[in-house]
Amino acid sequence: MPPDLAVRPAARALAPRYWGVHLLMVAAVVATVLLGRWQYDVWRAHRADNAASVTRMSPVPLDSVLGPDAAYPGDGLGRPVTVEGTWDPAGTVFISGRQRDGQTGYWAVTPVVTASGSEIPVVRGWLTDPGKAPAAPHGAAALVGLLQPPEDTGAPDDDPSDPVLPELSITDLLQRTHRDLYGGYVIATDRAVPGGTATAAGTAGLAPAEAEHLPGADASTGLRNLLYAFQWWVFGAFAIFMWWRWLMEDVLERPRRGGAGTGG
Amino acid sequence: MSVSKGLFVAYRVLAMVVGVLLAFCALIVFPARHFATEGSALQQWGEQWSILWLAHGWIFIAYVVVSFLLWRQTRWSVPFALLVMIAGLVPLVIFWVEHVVTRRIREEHPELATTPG
Repeated sequence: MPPDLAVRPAARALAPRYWGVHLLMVAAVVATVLLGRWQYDVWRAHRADNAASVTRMSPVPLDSVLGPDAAYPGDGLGRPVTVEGTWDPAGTVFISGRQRDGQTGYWAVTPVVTASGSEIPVVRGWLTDPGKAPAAPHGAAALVGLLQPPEDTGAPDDDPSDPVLPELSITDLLQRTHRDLYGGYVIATDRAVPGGTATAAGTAGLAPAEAEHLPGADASTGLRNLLYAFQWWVFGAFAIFMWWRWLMEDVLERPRRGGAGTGG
Repeated sequence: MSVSKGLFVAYRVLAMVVGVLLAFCALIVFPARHFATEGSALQQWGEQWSILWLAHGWIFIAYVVVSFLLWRQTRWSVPFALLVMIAGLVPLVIFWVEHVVTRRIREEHPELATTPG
């Protein structure tokens, strides 16, 4: 080993004639990290799309998915249903602590009395201040809503006399009406009701509310993209390893202990 | 340094597998999937077989690892080693590179010249 090599290996490794290789290694690592990130994002997008796909199904009548006295169905998360009946504006409540685009606000909820005589709470939309809410709708209701399960975590209502509730709890709402309630609620959309009935969704003056409960994506959704992402990252790691071995053995001439393979 | 015969054979086998997979994926499956009429039988066939890209990806990693080990024994120059590894990503080029590598190794290591093929 030449004496200068023992003293200054870094200077030797950084000699201009090796810059190209160093640069190539950095470029390879950056490229593989970015390509992996890209496939990882594709995987995430596939999963989000798969979870939301139920909300794009054709709407079916509410009672065919959730009867007035039935328990919430397992496949009902986010299912579009048609709700027809009569608005009960007196039953309007506001649910606090609802997020939309990073802002906390309220849901405006007005029940609809269906032909069965039971009420289904309809989330008409989102707003920042219940004091400035548009007047609750009255008369005929006809809308396509996304079915959601009731929220009954038992969050305490600090003021039961006002129309603001901490969660969309069917138990709490039962105390505000003399009718039966469905075991769930819907989030109103602006989609047209099939069959030509004029849509009366009560969403005017409100920002659209987002469905919070959607089914999880299948484990296999976009799995290929996740595996591609890992492939790229494995490559990046191996590029660093190869560069390191080359630097140690070919540039600094430090053979690996034990020696590389023997002849066969 | 001598070159391990097992590594040499592994390199040639992996080069062939990667080469065939890449040519099939890039020249047949890819055009079928992206240029055939949407929803046609040919397009769906391309969709099904595009899973082979994943196989190519992982076998290519094995090819790169074996190429790297071979490089450590042969001490090829960096450009030649890069050519050998990157060839696994360019359709058809890998067949030519495998040929060049085989000839070069046999010239430099006559003891391996008896390897069949």
